[in-house]
Amino acid sequence: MKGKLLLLLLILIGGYVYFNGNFHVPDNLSPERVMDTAKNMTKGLGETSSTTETQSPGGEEISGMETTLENITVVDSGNWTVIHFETSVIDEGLLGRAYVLAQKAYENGSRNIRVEAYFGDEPLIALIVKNGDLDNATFEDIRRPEFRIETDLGLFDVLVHSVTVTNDTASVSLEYLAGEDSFWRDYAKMSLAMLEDAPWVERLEIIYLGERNVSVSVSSDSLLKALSGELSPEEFAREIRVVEIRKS
Amino acid sequence: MMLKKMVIFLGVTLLLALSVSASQFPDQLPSITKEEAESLGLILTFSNGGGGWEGSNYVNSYQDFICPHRNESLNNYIRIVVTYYTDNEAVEQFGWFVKLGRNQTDRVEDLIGFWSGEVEGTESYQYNFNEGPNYADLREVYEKRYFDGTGFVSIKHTYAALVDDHYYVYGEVEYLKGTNACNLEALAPVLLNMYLERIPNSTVRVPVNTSVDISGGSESSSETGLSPDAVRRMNETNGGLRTIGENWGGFVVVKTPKGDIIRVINSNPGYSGGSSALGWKTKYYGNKALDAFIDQVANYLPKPLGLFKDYFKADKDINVFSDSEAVKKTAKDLHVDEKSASFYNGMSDIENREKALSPYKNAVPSNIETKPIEVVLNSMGVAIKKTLAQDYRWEFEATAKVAIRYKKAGMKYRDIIRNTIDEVRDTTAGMHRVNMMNRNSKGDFRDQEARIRFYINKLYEEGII
Repeated sequence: MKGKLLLLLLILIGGYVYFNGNFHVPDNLSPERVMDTAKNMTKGLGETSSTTETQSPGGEEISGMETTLENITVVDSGNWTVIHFETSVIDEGLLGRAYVLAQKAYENGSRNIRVEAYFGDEPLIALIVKNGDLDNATFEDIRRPEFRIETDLGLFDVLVHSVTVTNDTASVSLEYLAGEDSFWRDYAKMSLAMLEDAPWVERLEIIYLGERNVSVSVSSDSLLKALSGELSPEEFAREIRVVEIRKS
Repeated sequence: MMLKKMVIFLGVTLLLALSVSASQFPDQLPSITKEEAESLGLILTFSNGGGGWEGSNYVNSYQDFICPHRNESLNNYIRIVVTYYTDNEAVEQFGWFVKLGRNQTDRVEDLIGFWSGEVEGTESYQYNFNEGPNYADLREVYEKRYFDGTGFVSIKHTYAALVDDHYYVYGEVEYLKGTNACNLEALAPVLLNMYLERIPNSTVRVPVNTSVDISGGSESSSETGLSPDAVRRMNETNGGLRTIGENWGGFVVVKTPKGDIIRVINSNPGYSGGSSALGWKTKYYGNKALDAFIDQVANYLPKPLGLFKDYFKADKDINVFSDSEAVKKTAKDLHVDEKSASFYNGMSDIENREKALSPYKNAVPSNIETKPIEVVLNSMGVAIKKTLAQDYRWEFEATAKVAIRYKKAGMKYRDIIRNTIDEVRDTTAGMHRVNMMNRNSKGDFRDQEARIRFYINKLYEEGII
């Protein structure tokens, strides 16, 4: 309630200044304009289009509807219209939501369109339309490599603590929640997931955090060979480096 | 995002105070239009300005720029701030900048590993400071270099100019080497001079390095930020993954900003878990032959003692003895233990939000290829829920640990509650998983305190505290 009141007050004051102010605020990307554009973009999406151009600082009155597609911003840059939106729901429907926004931009005259979906601050997917060719729109996975690994390992019984990806190494630290039986099976599968997500790295490392902290790493090459049946169990085991590290 | 908007509103309120005493200030501070930014190959992302409270000594205007189609989270940006001071503060600000710049000295320090606590490489700071008539600039090159050859270089270049003893113009460009598509660093002084030209009677300019290409927007091969070796490995690995995919029954090619990546799909996972976490896991990463192979490999590897929590068995459906069918279903769908499932059912808001969105499901025409990205999203949707459920359990354990300690110290129930809330909040503030729970929980549970109180109640019911 407090948040709403504050917001109302700020809008009133803002309105007053807007009409009375004698100081020039650079207006080429004023919030008002962005919000208007967002409103136009989403107008006519039907009754489900409660895309919120209003912010909810207090958070109290957020309903499911309003939080699903929020914080839309539209930036026009030369030939390109770039649309960002946030989502807290991740499913196939996200593709449809991105597509509907691209259609709206197209109807408003844009021909080169990039719609980006964000999960909180994290970029997720992009829909790209070039030269007005909506039929040949393409989707990209624009997750940061670190976030891609974090979310892909989310299918495993682990709590990911941190992920680092460089040109040479992908390294994850995590707690393993399941039992001993599946420990090495899951290790191999998680390493495969990391390699798929960052196929340019030379080495893959998983640091297990527990009563002890242990780094388990393998080269991408050895993992690929093992998965293709080119290494014996003993040979592959020799390629896996297990090092106990000091607890921080 | 939210914060930015709050800042805008606050900025606007500050303007109110300003209009009372505006006469001492210039009518307008210089700014750049989005068309002008485009002509340099930049995108203007943010403009704002304002002043202090009534009677304050300044007004300012600031604008942010990025390269087109760059990921803002990479933090590659230019920011220009123009401030007009009614008093001597512009001169003082400029003086501080010069003093700071002169006092920087290059240094190299040991890089202590976060996990190992040992020296794993070096961190180096190199500075380059230049001064001219009423302007100065400081370039900082920060390099993190591990002994195994990995690392990165980040560059921060700041400019300051003083005009007419009242205008303080500050520019800042920051980027990770090898990641920006347009030449941000070369564009920053060009941009800064555009502001300086617009200040009446200003003759101050910052030097522009003319040897650098400022045509902008040209997408080079360094676009991906990968080294030539990394690109070579990526091609080889993707080839290998395709072959594995062919043996396992399939693969999809997913487009990413760094190039295509391959996701292997198991056509015969031998487990029909549908769209449950275990179902996706076996579909994308499971293979019976691989399991049998790894079981043999394990004979040659050390026992993972002390490295697993043993909440349940990973490759099996979970046995939940709860009376609640809903908890059983969640535990099975997300493959989490009973506690995580029951916390998730009680606190998560994700299902409600999903229900609100069904109309968008079939909006994409069928001729557009969506399968690769569906593979990404389907498993990720479940992974996010599973992580959320496990995060609740993690937060519960963190709460239990603290509460039990206070209980053992002989504290009264009331004090246990207060102290536990404070301690858990302090020790987990700003954590990624806490933010995630705040964002994806429903009602009061969006606040961590409400969740901690809920856990404490649970501990009390269970007779633990």
